Amino acid sequence: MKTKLKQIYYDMRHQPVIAWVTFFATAMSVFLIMVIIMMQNVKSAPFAPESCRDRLLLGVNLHVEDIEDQDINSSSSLSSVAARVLYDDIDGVEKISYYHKWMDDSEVSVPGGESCMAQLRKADAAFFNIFDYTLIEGRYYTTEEADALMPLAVITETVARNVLGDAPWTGRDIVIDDRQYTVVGVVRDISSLAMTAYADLFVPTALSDTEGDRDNLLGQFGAVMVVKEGVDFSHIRQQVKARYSTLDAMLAQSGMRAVYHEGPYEQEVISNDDLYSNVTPDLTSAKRMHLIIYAILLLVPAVNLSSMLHSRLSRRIREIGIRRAFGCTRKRIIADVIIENFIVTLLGGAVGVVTGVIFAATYSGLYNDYENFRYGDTPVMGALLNWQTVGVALLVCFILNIFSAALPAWYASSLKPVEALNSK
Amino acid sequence: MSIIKLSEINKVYQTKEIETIALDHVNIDVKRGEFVSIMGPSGCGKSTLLNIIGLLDRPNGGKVTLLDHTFDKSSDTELSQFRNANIGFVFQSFHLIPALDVAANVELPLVYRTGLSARKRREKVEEVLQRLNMTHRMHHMPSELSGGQCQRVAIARAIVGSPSIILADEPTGNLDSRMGAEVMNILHTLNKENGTTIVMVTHNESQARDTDRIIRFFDGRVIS
Ligand SMILES: Nc1ncnc2c1ncn2[C@@H]1O[C@H](COP(=O)(O)OP(=O)(O)OP(=O)(O)O)[C@@H](O)[C@H]1O
Ligand SMILES: [Mg+2]
Repeated sequence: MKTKLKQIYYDMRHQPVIAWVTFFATAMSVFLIMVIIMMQNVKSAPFAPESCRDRLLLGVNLHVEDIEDQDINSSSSLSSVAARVLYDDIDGVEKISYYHKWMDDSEVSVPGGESCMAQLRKADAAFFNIFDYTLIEGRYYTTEEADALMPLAVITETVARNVLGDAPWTGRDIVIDDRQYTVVGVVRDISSLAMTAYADLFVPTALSDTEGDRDNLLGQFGAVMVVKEGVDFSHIRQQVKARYSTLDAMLAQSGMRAVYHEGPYEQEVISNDDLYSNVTPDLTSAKRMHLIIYAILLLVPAVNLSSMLHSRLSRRIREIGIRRAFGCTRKRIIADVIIENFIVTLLGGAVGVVTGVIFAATYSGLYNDYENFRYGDTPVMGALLNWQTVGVALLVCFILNIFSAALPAWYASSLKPVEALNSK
Repeated sequence: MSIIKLSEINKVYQTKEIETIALDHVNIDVKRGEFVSIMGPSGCGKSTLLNIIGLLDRPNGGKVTLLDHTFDKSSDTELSQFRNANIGFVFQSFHLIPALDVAANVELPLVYRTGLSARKRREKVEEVLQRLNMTHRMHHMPSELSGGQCQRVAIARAIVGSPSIILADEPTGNLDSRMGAEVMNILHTLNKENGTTIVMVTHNESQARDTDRIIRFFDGRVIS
């Protein structure tokens, strides 16, 4: 082991370019892998305010079509009526909240003041019960207030500062898209990585708000549920599916029916699929796509490393010949090449991991999924980085090593001792 | 009783257009404890012969018998283990591993031997280095040694595993006459004191005359 390290050190001094390129190629690829894993983590790992991701289900889409002609169809979010039919009082649901699926890019200002843009989310009071925001001033609006659609607002700290200046902010009036609201609560900025929970402003809505409903049962609502501990998602889905017949009955006189697309969806589906409202999400093909991309991402550095190792080796062929002459077996040569390469890969990998950690700490805000998220870029290091991420990166390191060391090792061992000895 | 027996050995090198017959029906017998030198003009097949005796290369025809073993069906592992246990090589250009210090170079054959503790290996290394007066250079790198010192290290490496055969291909070829004489002394001492069988290729007539027997080669054939 000590001899191996010395050998590597000698190598680095005598073939600096190749050794360093190998080293950095490894570091880069491990870093790349970590970034990819972190991007995946961010999509599915629970973190505040989406601490409930493991038990979260989203029912936000409805697809209706003409019974005779399926080309006549329509799909979007739900009307209040459809939301109630599909999701009210489902067995096994611990909490449910109704909210507007799409946020509004809104103008916000103090009355008569200059306005700035912010993402507005309309949600009922239960929304704050599902997502664990950090309240730093005041309170959330209540169910009664939401049902009455009172002009109250919960805003984020950055919006509060930008629009209202210094604290205290509660009790003050703001204008959002020409309507006046009173601030009742201020929450800490929300990471835009929390795709469902994110917004800059919250104002009340409730199923009693039927303004956006259309005849075909489409509208503006979505439902977000937290399932009881231990309840299977399929138990929820079966009930929802059964309720589609009620929708069909309601649509019958207009000659339409509702198409079920395996909803409501869990976090993994929400984050990995584009989630068109008229298509059943296909997680397997999305996963396959990911796998292919990862494989390619891995293959590139592996091929690169392999050729690097190869040229490093050909300079050491004579040494291999000497070792063979004094009794080193072919298997031992292969094993040694792999071990030595593994050490280099590990060292490079360590640098990659450190770079990854620094990256996560510095740029976690870059993981924004939508360009128009405005203020929410609070770092979520915890979600980005964990032992699993580092573990997988090191595992990848190992796989990379196998890939890149196998070929040159095989080449090195296939030489006759005399050929290796006499190589120049 | 012969320790090395070559019968009807052929070796042909096939390169693009030319076919070189390096060894042509060679028969050689070396007795245990003998010190044999091989002489002949450049390109007549001396190194090829030594490589085949040393199991570093396989002949195209004929049979190699070493210590009553034949190797027609031997696997790479078996050949490697046989080399490790029974053969020590000394090369004209020393062939030390530049990344390893003197002690580690000498230790090499022991590394590939099973059942030797690191301490035991170290002991043996120190023992042979002492014998060759190289103990003070133990932790030097090969690049810090003179040619004669390098060859002494190489000899130490060849004998550390106590092989019964030593194959030396022009061991003094890169050395001045004083250092060359020193190396020859070491080889003779080995041959007398340990009874090690030595086969040495040389271009030096007087060195050859000091050995037990001279085998003369010409164009891949033994001529006397
Ligand atoms: N790998 C090879 N491929 C092709 N021809 C070879 C190879 N090795 C040796 N030869 C040829 O085989 C013949 C014998 O070579 P060998 O090295 O055994 O000669 P030698 O007697 O050791 O010569 P020298 O005294 O110069 O070392 C030469 O003609 C040489 O050109
Ligand atoms: Mg030669």
